[in-house]
This record gives sequence, structure tokens and C-alpha cells, in this order.
Amino acid sequence: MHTPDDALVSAAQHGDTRAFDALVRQHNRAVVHVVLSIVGSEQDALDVAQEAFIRAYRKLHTFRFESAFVTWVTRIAINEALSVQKRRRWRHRLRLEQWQEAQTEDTTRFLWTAPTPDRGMLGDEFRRAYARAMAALSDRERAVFILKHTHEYKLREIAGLLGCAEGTVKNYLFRATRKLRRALADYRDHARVH
Amino acid sequence: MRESTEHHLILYVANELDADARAAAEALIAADPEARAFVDDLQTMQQPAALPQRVADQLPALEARVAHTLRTASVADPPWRAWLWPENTAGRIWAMRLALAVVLLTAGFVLGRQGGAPLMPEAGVAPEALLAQAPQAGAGYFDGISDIHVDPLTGQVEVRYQTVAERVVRGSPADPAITALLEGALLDANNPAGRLNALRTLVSTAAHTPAPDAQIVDALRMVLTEEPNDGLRLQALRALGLLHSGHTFEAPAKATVIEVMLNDANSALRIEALQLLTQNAAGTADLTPYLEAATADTNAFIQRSAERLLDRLPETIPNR
Repeated sequence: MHTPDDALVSAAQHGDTRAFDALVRQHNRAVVHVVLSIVGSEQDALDVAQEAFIRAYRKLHTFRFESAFVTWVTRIAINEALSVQKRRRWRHRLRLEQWQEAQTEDTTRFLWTAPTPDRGMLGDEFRRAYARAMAALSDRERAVFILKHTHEYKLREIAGLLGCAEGTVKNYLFRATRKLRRALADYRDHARVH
Repeated sequence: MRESTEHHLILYVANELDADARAAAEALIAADPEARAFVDDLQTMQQPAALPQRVADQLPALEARVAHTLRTASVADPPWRAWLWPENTAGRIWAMRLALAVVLLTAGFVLGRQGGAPLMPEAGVAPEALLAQAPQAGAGYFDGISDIHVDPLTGQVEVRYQTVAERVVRGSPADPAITALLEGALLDANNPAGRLNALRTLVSTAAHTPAPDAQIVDALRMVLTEEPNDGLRLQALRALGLLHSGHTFEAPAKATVIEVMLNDANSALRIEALQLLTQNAAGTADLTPYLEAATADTNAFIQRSAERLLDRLPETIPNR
């Protein structure tokens, strides 16, 4: 598989840091966006993305051009984001609901800023309910739903990014969809009336 | 709507169907208003969340930080690093074992010359001493559970785990060291066999456990929320139920079971959760809204069970 990044990656593999700068510039938006959907906090997302790019540079000699560079670096960033979330839980030993509360606060802040279809008077309320419902999903359910519907990855690609089977990804998608649909049932009915 | 139809339509909206399956979905949507409404709902939920502007504004600073790190720190691995700290996990474990062996040999040599006590425990060391070495989560080097065995006659649990060498801890299921190891096994994302083994142990020893341990209950809740494997989640539900025999669910555990009953994609798990809730909190009025929601489940068995349970509740609820 050949991509426009290949020349830059080759140059970076031979120690050209400017080539790697160009790769970072080209793909940091996509990487930060994916990470933000997993960790919720904007500052954490920027830190995780930075760590992922540095780690990618460190491992660049192992890159074999079997996938696009952006897919490879996104996979590193997702793994880093998921382990950050896991370390948080272990470190703080929080009860699940306290942890979810903290998540809701962070993730909500990100999702409130997202543009949503105009629902008139119900818009803000719907956005908040949507953000709360998203925050209540597990990390992997949320990651799968957002990678699918916001970043438009195929399920097969998401399975590669998360390092699990395609069937497992489907299961996450079904669970996430079911939970979101149930959580938004009241607002959906209002939206139809309006 | 049947569960398989729901899944078919979810994949349709996700643009993951081949041409034939897509045509079948479109025919269904055209013919069935319920399917049409379902697809409308799914499309409403696909929020195109753009990257917030204040994050986008920080991207140049991110680029600068990465560039600065690449140029100032020795980011690239020096050639000797691969020898001392290999890329793969197995290699790293061997490197750590080697390093520890060198430290132990050196310390043993020094202490031996000073006439100090031997470093390694003698054979037949007291179980209490081993229990004291049970790993605390996140502390020290701990390389996972290798085996868990339950003695069916005594109800005693034996857990083998890896540090630099294999260790064994034996005790009752309520023993703090055993509980800590089982919790560790349940939360070990990289060891599904260990998770299964810990769940089976909890199921088979629940009768010997006087009261549910809060840490184990939290770990089971985590399994129910995060575990991708339906079979393991089903075992977690059963373990949660058995551990609560004769005890009422605390609110967090109850909330997790309700969440499974209402939202799990697998109907077997929803059925198990419904039965668990009604056994544990039968006759309690606060289950009513959840049972009412369950009457709209896609699974006919769940619908009928929830309706039957609601019919038994009027004595405790004046408004029904």
C-alpha cells in the first residue's frame, strides 16, 4: 500500500526530523480528535497525542508500510489513551460511579461544543443529554461509536485500531447504540413533536 | 422489533452491509414504519462532533512541543537499548528476571560474606509469610495469575501467580490475600483465561463467602461494564447474584444489573439480569419503572417476564 506519507516516513526513518514534523502537522488534528473522544479532557488529549507522536518516532524503525502512517500512529494513540484511562482507575481506586461522574464532567465539556442538528428550543437540552449518555458508555463502546460515526472508519479498521476481533467491535457498536437510544428516548419523542 | 433486525439496521446506518443486505434493509425500512422510526433515531444519534476550536488552536503548540522533544531529548533509542530493554513483553520479562537475578546474587554474596540471613525463603515457609507477599494492585512487579484452584471438599482456594517466579497462596475465599488476587485477575485486561478462572472460582465458592466483598463487587461491575466477551459477562452476573444470596444489592451493584437488564445487546444477559434483580429485590416498588421499560424489550421472553412480575407488584404499590 502506497500513501502520500511514504516519502516523509522514509525520510524520518533516516533521521530527518523535519519530515517527521511534517507528518505531525498533517495528522495531529485527526489524532487529537480520536484521543479526545476517549479521554474526554482536552488537556489529557493533547498530552496523550504528544506522547503518541514521540512514541511513534521512537518506534519508526518498526513501521513496515503495511498500513497508512496515520492509521499506525492513531493505533498507538488509542492504546495510549486507553491505558491512561485504565491507569487513572487503578491510581485513584475510585468507585465506578465517582469515576463516571468525573468522566461526565470532562466528556460533557467536549461534546457540548460539538455542532448538532438544529433542534430549536430543545437543542441545548438534547446536547447535554447526548453528552451525558456518551459519557456513560464504557471507554471502548464510546471509542467504537465515535470512530465509526464521527471518523467514519470501517468496523474492520476499528478492530485493527483497538486490537480486537471485528465481531467484538460490532458488539461494542450494538451496545453503544442501544444505550444511547434508550438514554435519548425522551428527547427523541420531544424532537418528533416539535 | 427483533434483536437481529435491530442489529441489521444498525449495520445499515453504519454503512457496513454488502449490496444484497443493504437492499433488504431498504425494503424493510420502506415497508415497516417501526424500522423507519428506528433508522431515524440512529441517524439522529450520529453527531458529527467537530474538534473544539480551543483545542484546534493548541495544535501548533503541540507540534512545537513534539519538535522540541525530538531535537533536545535522546528520543531515538540508542543501539544498546534493544539489548537491555527489548521491544516485546517477553523480552522485557527476561531482561527484568536477569536484572533481578544479578541483584539477588550480588546481595546474597555480600550478605553471605557478612554471615547474614539467607535471602530466599526456605522450603516449607509458613503460609502467613506467603500471604504477606500477596501483591497489592499497582505495586511491585506482578506478572499475572497463572492458575486458580478450588478444593471442593474444604472450599479452600489456591492461587498461583507470577512475580519473578511462581508463587502460591492458599486460603478461604474471604481471605484478604485471596480476594486481592481474585480482584487482580478480574481486572487483568490481558488475561481472559485468568478472568474466566476467577469468575468460576467466585461462582463455586460463593456459598463459603459470608458477605460480598466490596472490592470484588466493584471488580464484577467493571467486568459487566467493560468485558467484551458475553460468556464472561454472564459468569460475572451469576457470581454477583450468588455472592448476594441472602444479602440485598447495594445501590451501585443494583444500578449495574439494571443497566445490563435494559441495555445489554445480548438477550441472554438481559434475561439473567432480570431474574437476578427480581430474586434479589423481589416485591420492591422501586423496580417498577425498570420492569415497565423491560416490557418494551425486543425479546418476547423478557417482555412476558416483566409483565408477570409487574402483575405481582400491586400489593406493594398503591398507584397500580
